[in-house]
Amino acid sequence: MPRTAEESDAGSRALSWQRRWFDVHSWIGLKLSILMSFILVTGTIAVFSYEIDWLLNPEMRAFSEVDARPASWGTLYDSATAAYPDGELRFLQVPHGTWWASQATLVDPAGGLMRIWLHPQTARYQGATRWFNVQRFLRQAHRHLMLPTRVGIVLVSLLALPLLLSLITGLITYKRFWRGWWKWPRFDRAPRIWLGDLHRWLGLWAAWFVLLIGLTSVWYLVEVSGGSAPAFPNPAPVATREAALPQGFDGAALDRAVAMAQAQAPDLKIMRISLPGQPAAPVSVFGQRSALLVRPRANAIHVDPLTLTVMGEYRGEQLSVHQRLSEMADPLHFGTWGGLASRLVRFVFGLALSALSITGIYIYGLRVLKRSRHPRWPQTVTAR
Amino acid sequence: MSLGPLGRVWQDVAVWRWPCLVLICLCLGLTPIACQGLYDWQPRGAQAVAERLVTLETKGSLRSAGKLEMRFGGAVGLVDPRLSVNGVVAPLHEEPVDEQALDGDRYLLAAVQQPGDRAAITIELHTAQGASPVVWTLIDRGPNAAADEERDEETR
Repeated sequence: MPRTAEESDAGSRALSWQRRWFDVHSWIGLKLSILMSFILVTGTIAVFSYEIDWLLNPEMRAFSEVDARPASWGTLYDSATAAYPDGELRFLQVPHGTWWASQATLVDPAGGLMRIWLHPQTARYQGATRWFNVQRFLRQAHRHLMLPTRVGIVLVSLLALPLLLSLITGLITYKRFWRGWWKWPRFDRAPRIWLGDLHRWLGLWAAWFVLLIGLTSVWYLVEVSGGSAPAFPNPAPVATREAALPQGFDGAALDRAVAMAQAQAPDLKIMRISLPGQPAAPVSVFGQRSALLVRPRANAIHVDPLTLTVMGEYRGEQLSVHQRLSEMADPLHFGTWGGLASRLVRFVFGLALSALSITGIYIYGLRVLKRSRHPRWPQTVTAR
Repeated sequence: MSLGPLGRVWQDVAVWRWPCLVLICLCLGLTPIACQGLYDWQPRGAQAVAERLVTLETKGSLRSAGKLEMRFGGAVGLVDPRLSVNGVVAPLHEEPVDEQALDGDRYLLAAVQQPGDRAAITIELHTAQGASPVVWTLIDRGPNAAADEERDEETR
């Protein structure tokens, strides 16, 4: 049945709106393409930045010995302090994975941070690496372009807005997009066709991921603009002492402090221990309990290193909604919430998102190139 | 001259490409500074070639409640160093200072500060003639510094 004039008008109006949305989509993708691609690629590689460091530094590798039990926190402490008697030990943490050494972080006499690597079972000192490594480079480049965080985080997280707008405009301009999930790109056609197919196909499959990255980045923007979550509950004041650690504090004392914490919270899976950097601070034991999507610091037990009594405790479930949102942002954005499997998913979709940016740029280039070579091409087609 | 697709894109991003490239170059250019541990944009590190009198001045704000510490490194030939925090002179040493005594020593500058407090710190170092350059560093050691560092530990 022939279309009426009214239907035809409505059709061209819709087309014109779609065209405008498409122009917005291309404009955003094009103008911010260089910076956006840099942020997306560094963020994607950062997912496995620890592993890159692991490959580069033999000190970070440790292989399990048969029937050996993990070294106690106190043994690790003694080993680290024996290796660096002049250093100020600040953190001890569980190995990153099965083939990893335990890490101790200390402030060296020159005031710089160092990473000390210890065998997780024998506590043997394996070596030290500097604080700045591949992981730090990728983190700082991706998070704030190495700029002052006040400026850098704002600049980077502002990119979340065009990212989300690209998602919305992309879905609007893709007619009946729900049919596109199973439309395999036509790789046998000209580059502009198969790249366009690939761009749309990746965009559809990665839409949830774009939304996730966009929203968590908006959250970082909120945090840096003054909306950061309130601090965790403070422990009760510790007994007075003169130095950061009591006289004679050693690995055995740390083991007793950890035992106190573990008795207080038997379900706490200890991930990290923070040692006091000043006399008013406690030994803090952090880890995972039952709360979902929180970092280890959301569950803590504070122990006085002098009296070895528990001075305070909080757990993920007790935190406010604001604090939980803040805790949730990192595991979701980094993909660390489900271990290696979720990081793999994060990496694959990170690649897809980077490819979206790069293929988008290339498609635009091909399109304008074609238009410039055939300036009257659209009219010719219409005439046919 | 005919341009390829990327050449056309390059042409079309005209004014946008430079700020983006400047940011990326800044990022990569600042990496060596980060590598030396002079990073995080806290008021750290200043260097001056010592003559008879060296005055170093900085302003900083604490990230969290706590103590502000100062550490001297490489200070050679210092005589009678004096320091003031927010205009109030704070003694560095109760006893006479020997030459080179400051090297690697740490001093508390301000007892307790609140987050966001600003401390204008002036250090006057009277040095022997022809002394070596003086390097000094400010370190924020608040109770929340551990949490800050832990947060920094995460990959993003």
